[in-house]
Amino acid sequence: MTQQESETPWYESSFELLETLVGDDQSAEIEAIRTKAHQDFLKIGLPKSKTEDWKYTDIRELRTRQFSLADKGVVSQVDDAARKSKTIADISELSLQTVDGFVANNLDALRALLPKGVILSTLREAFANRDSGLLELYREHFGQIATTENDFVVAFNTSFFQDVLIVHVPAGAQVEQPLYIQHIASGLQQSTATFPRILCVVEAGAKLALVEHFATLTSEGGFTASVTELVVGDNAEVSHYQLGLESDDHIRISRLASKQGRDARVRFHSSTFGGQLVRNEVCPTLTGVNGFTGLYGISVLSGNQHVDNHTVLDHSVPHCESDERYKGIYDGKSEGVFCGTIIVREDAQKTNAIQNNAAVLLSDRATVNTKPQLKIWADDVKCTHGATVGQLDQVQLFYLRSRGIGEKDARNLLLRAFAGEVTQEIELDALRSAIEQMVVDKLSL
Amino acid sequence: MLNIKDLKAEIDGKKILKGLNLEIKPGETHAIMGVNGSGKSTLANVLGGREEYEVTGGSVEFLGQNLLDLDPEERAREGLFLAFQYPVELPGVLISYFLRTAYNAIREHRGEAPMPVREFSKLIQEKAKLLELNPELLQRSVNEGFSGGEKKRNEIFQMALLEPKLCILDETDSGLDIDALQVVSSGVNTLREQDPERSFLVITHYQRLLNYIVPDYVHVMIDGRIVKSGGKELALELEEKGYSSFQQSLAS
Repeated sequence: MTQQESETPWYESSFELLETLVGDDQSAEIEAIRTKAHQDFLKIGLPKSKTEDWKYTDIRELRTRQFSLADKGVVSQVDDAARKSKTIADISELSLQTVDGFVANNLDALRALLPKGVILSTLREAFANRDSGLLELYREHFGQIATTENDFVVAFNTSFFQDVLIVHVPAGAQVEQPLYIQHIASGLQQSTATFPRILCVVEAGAKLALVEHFATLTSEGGFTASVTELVVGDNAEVSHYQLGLESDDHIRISRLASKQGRDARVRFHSSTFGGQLVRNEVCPTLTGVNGFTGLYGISVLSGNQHVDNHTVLDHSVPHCESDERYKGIYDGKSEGVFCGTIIVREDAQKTNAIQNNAAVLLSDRATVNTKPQLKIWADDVKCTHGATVGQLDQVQLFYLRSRGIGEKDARNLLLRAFAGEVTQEIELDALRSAIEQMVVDKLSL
Repeated sequence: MLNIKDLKAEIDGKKILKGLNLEIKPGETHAIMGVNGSGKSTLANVLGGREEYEVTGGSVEFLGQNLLDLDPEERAREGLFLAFQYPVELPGVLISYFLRTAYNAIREHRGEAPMPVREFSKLIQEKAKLLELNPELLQRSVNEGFSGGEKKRNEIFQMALLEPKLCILDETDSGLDIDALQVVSSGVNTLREQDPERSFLVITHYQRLLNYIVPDYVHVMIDGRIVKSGGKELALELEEKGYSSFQQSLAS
């Protein structure tokens, strides 16, 4: 291994191999963005164990293991049935898949289902069609919330992204069905690195729910670094659901970044069941008064799995409210990390922020590290935070058993109820039922 | 029904039960009275199967089986019911779901098929009426946000539903006002009438309860043992003279 470590890591040598994303005459624009991001990325480097934000999550494997970039040709090798094999039924007709970071569907069929004026496109298409309106939207917003300077995850994704899925919901449009995106890692090549990227702009008074579901087709381990930017206008309503169901040897780091206008309501919900190592980063900024941000997460892990829920919630204006609740159930030798930062800036008076993190350890070998960080500069605010880590309550367990319920059923009943306090925040019925079932299934393994 | 011989138990190394004997025959109602710390609740918890309590001696036979060999859920399925002194809150566990799971686990043990949801829902509405339990409570999480009286009524409600052979009431009356006490007692008395073979062990601190649930036998418990047994009049004697007279007679 020492020999390998001294070699040039894959992400340095691979950058030269990146194919151009758009036609020759237009490529300079994208190349400039990627090159700048790559320079930022190399400057920052992979986080080390001393890096405070990565203290409990070790990603040195990204350097020592050889990953390779996805080949667009692979997309056509995954047939429709395989591509849709991970789709959860009844969530939405607005269902699409990316394969190894490439949008795999013909989007025309989906566009027909969207309300008038809503745009669903890829950046490749926008360039190919020389769609000046869409390109203008892209230029205005891309990389604005998720910036590459001093940010390892965004710089990594921006160096290597192969396409961008762009969603634009114009003012007042209500997208009633959720947009359900499955990010499929095909596993057709060995240790593939994929970089899904989404830009979503929801204008004033509009409504959208987005589901990002990460899945793998094989147990061939890979790596995913995804970035999703959400620009939410005044009085708009956006829900984002993230579902991690990869195989046990996949590594993923996801960044969700948002900013929201006044009176806007934004909710993030992350569910993690799969993966070898998963880091869910959620970074919302409240930039308009009277906004609400909800941050919720449930993780159920076993074996050697590791999850790191890392949130940075920025209250920069007054009279906003936030509700943050993460729960985890850890069995085997699994590890959970929760690091939740809430910033309340000087102007953000009358902020009301709640943060809570609770974990249940089902095994002596499972571990949890939890770190709430409140950085409050305003003086008239209400911020509460709490963290609990423990075993199942023995008295509750005895109460159930004393009524004739077997030990295993009693245990599962309590764990489902524990998870239920955050799964109930999922407003899409089909998704909520599916995730509640996943909690049960994972616990009965 | 229940035969306890020379039962000794401790918790965290502290000896609580120090050789307790008690026999309850089918259809009998026994009351155990005693001051705080005499071991009344320990007895209830040991009979229920709480693992924190260690049995260090003696035996307990329940319907011909060694009770101490059974897990708490097996005891319940065999027909033992413990009404808790402090009913436990289960946030996120709906009462209706909790009860159906328990009810069907007991049916399964008896070799019966699970009861369909609709039929079961009718059954619990009916039993809730018996305890004058607000039907809205059935849509809530178990005991969460319940008043003290509602929690105790909920215990007897579960008892009525699960139809046990032996009911143990651990200070069910403590903290109840007279109205709630009457509701709880009439629920218990209905269960007594329903099945003449059903037995009761009523653990209480106060004689008052025994005006409503009239026992066949009363036992006085002091320092982990039963020091005196008698008929229902013993409770009145106790009320009059206080526990100290028994403690003195014990010392002499």
